Amino acid sequence: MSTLNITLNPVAVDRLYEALNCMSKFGDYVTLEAKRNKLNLRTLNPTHSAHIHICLAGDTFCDAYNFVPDPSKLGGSQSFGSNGSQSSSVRQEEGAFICKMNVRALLPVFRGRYVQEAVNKERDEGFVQGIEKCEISLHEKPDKVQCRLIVKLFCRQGVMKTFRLQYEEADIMRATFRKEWAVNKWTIRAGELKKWMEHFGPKTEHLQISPEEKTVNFTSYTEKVIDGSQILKTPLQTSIELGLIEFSDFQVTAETHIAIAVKDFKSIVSHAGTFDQVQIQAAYAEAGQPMQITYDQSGMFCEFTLMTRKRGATGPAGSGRAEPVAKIMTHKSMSAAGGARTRETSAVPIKMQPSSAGPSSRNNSVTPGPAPLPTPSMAPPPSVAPAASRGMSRPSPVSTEMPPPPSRTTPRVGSVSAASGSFLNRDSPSLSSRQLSASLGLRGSLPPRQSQSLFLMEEDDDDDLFGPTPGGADNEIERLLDDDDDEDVLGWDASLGAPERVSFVELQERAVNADKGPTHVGRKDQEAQSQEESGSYVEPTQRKNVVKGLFD
Amino acid sequence: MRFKASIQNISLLSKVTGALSIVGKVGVLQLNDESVQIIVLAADNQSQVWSHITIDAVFLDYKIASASGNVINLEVPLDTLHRSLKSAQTASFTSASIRLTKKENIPRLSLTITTETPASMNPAIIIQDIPVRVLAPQTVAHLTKPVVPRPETSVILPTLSQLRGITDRYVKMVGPNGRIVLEGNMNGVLRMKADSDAVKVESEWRGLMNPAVGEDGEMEWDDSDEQLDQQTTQEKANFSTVRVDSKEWAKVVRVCAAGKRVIAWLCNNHALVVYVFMGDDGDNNATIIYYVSSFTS
Repeated sequence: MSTLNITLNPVAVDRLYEALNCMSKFGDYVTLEAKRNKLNLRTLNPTHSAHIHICLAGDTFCDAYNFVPDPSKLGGSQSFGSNGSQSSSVRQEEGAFICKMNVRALLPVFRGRYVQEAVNKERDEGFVQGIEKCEISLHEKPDKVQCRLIVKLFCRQGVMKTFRLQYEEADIMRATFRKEWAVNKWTIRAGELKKWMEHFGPKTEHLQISPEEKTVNFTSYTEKVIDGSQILKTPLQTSIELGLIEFSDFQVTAETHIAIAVKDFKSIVSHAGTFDQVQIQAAYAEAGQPMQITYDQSGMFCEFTLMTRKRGATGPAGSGRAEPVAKIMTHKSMSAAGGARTRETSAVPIKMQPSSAGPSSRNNSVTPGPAPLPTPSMAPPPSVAPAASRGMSRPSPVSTEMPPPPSRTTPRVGSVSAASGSFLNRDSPSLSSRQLSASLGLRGSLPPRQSQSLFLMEEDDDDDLFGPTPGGADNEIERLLDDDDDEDVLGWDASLGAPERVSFVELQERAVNADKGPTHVGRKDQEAQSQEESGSYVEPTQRKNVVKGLFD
Repeated sequence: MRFKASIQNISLLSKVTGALSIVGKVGVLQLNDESVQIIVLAADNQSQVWSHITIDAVFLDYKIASASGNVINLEVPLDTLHRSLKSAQTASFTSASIRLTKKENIPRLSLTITTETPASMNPAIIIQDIPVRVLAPQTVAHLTKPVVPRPETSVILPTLSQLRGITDRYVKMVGPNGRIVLEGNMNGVLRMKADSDAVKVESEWRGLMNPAVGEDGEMEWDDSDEQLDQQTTQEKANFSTVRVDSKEWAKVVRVCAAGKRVIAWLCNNHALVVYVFMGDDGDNNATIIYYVSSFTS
């Protein structure tokens, strides 16, 4: 039985509420991961295009924090630093307690009305109740019948409110993000950015961020096709040009235009805006690869990993959540030194199969091959599609249920599929290494995979039109192999910063990509490019939907 | 077809569009050499709203050109237009301009707002592109201002915040599709009545001003009857009555609340016409005229 006891002061409760409120705008569930010195909250949006990780430091955020892992879960696997960073294995720190809760059930518990000076003044003005402290404790029973997370609010006048919250077992999802590839960075005061973001209307879908000579352009746009009679319902298109001087720091290579969801960005910025004077830092590589937005204050560390796209790339427009699925995960194992392609971030979902046998020392992550560039040349083989579709159809599966073979996400672009399966990695020690291990040997012979292509590739028009194409035999093999690959691949926190190892295959892939790179660059025809790319982000199933939406 | 102007009084324009967005989602924007008109037609044909803005009151460097006599007719989403104008409502706002353009094959009114950033006082530019539909002259040929007879009663409405509070309660009482009866005379009396199955309520205001019909410019009526301007005492005491939909009346009151000065005309059993003067001076530079037809009892 793990022991977890947290004491929070009223301000921290309010902060926690703001954090949960922000997460609730992305996903329905929040995953709690208790470690020795910190509590991690994570959520993933339904399209896997955004991953939120908020870390509450045990010593600075909480008045008191005590976590003792379940002794029965210890041992066996190697343990990593308590900071959880960059261990080669995917598995989290030994014995961490992980559970999943509905974020909407948590919101009312912590609703920010407990402090005299509410964090979010606009909302809570004149709505102050007092609490003196909040205690959160875990009651985990071996028989698993009475497990509850208990939140006690000690109010003034001796009133105590107690919430007994149910939780579910969960796997940890992590976003991998290669910081060393994210050469584009900027920093700006959150309060200021929040004010600018208020100019954007409610229905617009995407936000393009483009650096110009002395300014940065934030432009919203919508890709939904609107026919003549509905033309007036076209969302307001807003463009804001800010001088670089407004940024505390701005280093972005010219011609790097990325787009993210306006709604996501606004949610992030408005959360950051609740902190005083906090600086938002953004880092990204190029369109089609993840962007990471971070800020921290008072022991709360917020990290948002968002998939980016290139304007013109089509997503499932009808759904409104057009973003490519989470490319969030990268292989940790890959070394940054990819040579030519140092910048790419690969999003690799990690899959773990709980059912499979013994714990392997390595992390299983499905590694996407070298991250393919968004260039059309990179288009993945059509075969990828089937895999992707499979993944998509599955709602975020409980990790235990994931079938091993399907779960292996091919690194390819199609991989969104993987996303669902892969994202939810199970950190449980039970991961079987065997799946992963096999792949290594085989890989050498395989054609380089374009792991990132899952998201990026879209070159295949056929793919777009018809959804998943029947996978070639090769694909099947690859997929199988991929599972094996899991061993090699170390997924998860790119941020961890552990040294990366590059597998031979990956190197191969990178080389291939590098070769292709020039072609990509050479292309001047943006439109053509974008069109091609557009297909890539959408998963096969989504694409079908899109098609339907357009013509219906 | 070209239209371009800088906006010197964006708060006035914003007030007008804000009031109009209460009335309907879409309006017809008529631009010509002399003025700007925005017309909102109710779907049920019970009401029309005509807003008139003189160019000098709002614009500078107003340039318009089109094949049809320098007239441009656009269909605009009013809430979107209003929202985009709000971007200028910051302390650091410095200038704004508007022009007709086309982006991604959609005609748009492009609003460019220059502000200063709070921290560094450097300029920042906000561009809001409002989708519009360009209407052919024949499409709007049928749009003509309603003609009303000379009103029996012309009255300045009571304090609008008070009127609004009371109106909201009336609307709740009579429910959807309810009727509200307005009665007024030239002795400064206005009555508002609700008469539904469950409840009967009446409010009366006295001592209101009765401006002479047509003492303000831009007011138009059908003068064929050649009524005498001098009314007898008896005539002054006569009440004229209109019956209007409760929801519509609630909208009228909300639009009125945005104005500086409001004159209501009660054309007995025919129509309610409300003149809302939007300018800070209550002048004719920006007006909204709200026509509501009266139900027959």
